[in-house]
Amino acid sequence: MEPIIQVRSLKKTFGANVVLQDINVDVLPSEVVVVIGPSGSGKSTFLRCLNLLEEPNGGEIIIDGESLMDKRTSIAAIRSEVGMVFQQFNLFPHKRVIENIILAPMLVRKWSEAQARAKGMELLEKVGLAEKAEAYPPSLSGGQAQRVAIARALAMEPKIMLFDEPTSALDPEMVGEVLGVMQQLAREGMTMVVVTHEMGFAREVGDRVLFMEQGFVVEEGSPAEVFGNPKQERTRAFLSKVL
Amino acid sequence: MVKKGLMLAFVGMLALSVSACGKGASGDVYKIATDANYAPMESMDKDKIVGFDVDFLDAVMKQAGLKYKLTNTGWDPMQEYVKKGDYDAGVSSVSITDERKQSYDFSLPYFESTNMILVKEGSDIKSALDLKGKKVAVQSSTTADTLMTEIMGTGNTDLKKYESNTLAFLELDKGGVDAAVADIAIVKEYAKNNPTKKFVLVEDKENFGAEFYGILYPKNSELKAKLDPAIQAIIENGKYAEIYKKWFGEEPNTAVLTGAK
Amino acid sequence: MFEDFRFDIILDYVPLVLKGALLTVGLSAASILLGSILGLGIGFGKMSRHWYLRWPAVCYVNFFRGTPLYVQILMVHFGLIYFLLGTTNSIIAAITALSLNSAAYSAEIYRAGIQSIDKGQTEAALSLGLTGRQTMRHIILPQAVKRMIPAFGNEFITLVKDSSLIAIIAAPEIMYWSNAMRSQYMRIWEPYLTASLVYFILTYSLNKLLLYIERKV
Repeated sequence: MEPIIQVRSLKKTFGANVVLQDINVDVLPSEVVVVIGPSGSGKSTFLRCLNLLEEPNGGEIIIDGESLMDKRTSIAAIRSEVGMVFQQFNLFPHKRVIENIILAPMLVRKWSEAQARAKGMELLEKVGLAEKAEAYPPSLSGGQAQRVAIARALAMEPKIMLFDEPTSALDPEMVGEVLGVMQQLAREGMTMVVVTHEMGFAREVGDRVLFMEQGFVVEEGSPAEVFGNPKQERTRAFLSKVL
Repeated sequence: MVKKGLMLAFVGMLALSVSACGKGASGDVYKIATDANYAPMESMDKDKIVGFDVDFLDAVMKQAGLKYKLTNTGWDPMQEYVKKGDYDAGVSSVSITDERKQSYDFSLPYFESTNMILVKEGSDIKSALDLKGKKVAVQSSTTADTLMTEIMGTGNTDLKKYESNTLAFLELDKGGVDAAVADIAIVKEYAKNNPTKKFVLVEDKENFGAEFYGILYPKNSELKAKLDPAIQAIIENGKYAEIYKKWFGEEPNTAVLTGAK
Repeated sequence: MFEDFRFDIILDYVPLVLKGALLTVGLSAASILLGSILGLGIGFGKMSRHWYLRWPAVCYVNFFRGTPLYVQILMVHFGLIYFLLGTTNSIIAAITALSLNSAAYSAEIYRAGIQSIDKGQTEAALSLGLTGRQTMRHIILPQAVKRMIPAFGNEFITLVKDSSLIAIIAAPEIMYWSNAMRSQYMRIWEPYLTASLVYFILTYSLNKLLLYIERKV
């Protein structure tokens, strides 16, 4: 099977600070890749390069056959196929929940409002928040807000979903409801790249685990391999601290 | 609620302004105010006040045997100081008009202000009466302002009143008005200094009524009785003509002054 | 000081001062509108990544905030408008000068308002496939405008009061007629307090209107 994401020799620096040294990763359709590693390892930057929220300084990223580094590629078009969920949710506070969801389909996909609303309600149903459709985001709990953010990204019917520490800002009792939604997505065959500190989720839902440190992918393999029998000393050291 | 707020604000403004003044009575030295901003009548030469009015005042006070101190207070404060009696008089090319007499006393007329029309070459304005229906610039608070307001009517927006003659003349130059009216000495000086601009000077003694400057006093001032004879005396003894010649290079028409009421 | 306050001369000038107030309202409204529109462009210029857009905007704001409005009015009246029209026009000059001046202050209000919106909002919108323009229009501006309203309120009220300076080019607004009254009677409190009261009523009403808008948004 052709990989839907191909990353070759990816480099990213912030000034003199080298954040990503030489990243080479392929992601297959319907695969769930979980990226773990200490903070500052570059895992969030790597994820943000995949929809060009960060501009790489070198290397190549090909998504669904289109090169992100090619100036002729429409960045907006690529982004509309790659959903992203943020640590801080980033819902639009001045718009109702349902308006948050239908905005992009109507503006970008040119759907009619009726069509977008139908899709939006279906997604709210799916994340268990249909009754919050007319609420404003500030009235939602963290867990509810993050589930709305997932529904908002899904409304664009993306081919890939990126999750940037989606549960890190949540109170512990709300982590489960968000992970539940993500698990269901994975089961439905969504291609997912997830940066997380939730090792249980990585082990249970991930098809493959990448361990990153200091801008390198240090180790990668199935959850059973990485968690059960890590080959690298640095992976072992990290896992011993977080498990 | 709104009404109450407005009333409070208005009362507040009144209270503020009331507290801003106090009586500073004069003893032997009389306090005289001026706005030294109207050459050649009164203006600043570095830190000294100079001009026709300054020399005239000095001659009058010497004639009356009185000590005085002249201060450049600016135009608005001068009015208030003199009206309240904080200053004993104001000498600043103040035109004598009936409206102003309602709030002040004036000395005998000591200066005849003749106004003149300044137009651009080719203008069809030949007299003051031609100014009706035209756009005219004057300096606010001058005799030209008083005269033209009389001719054109209060509230006529074709009469444009500027803070200074400089701006009024500039407006004429740029075509915003058809004519400017100002004191003869000032118009001549301006035309002389701008020979390339092709200005034409129009005199009209008939339709411009005589306007006179007077010393400004508070109502019921005792000083008026002391200075009026002194003014008459220096006009009669030639001192006035001497000062006039120094500043304007010609003999004054003192008959007009003594004939004026 | 007010034992001889002359209400009769105020009454005499009421029709003219009211006519002047109408002009002040018209000039201010036009300048607020034009200044806000122009200010938006300049504000974006100041935030631009391109030096050739940023630099003129920075110069513009520095000039109009850093020099006296009094001088700006004279320069616009006798310079810019004369250059453009071949003659002077105090009304056009007044609106132009006030708009240009207000645009500089508005630009800073826009910039501060837009930059106060969390970066995550832009990222979320972009990640959904919105263009930069759509993100600004649908996500950033609606939130930023709400935060700008109090600052714009200050700016508009200042503009109404600053409009009194255009009396120097003989635009017959409130202060112009107040000066005429002052000159005719040589009294300062009646004209100045009359003008102040009219400005107060205008700014007070404007403030009420802005509070109403702030609640509605």
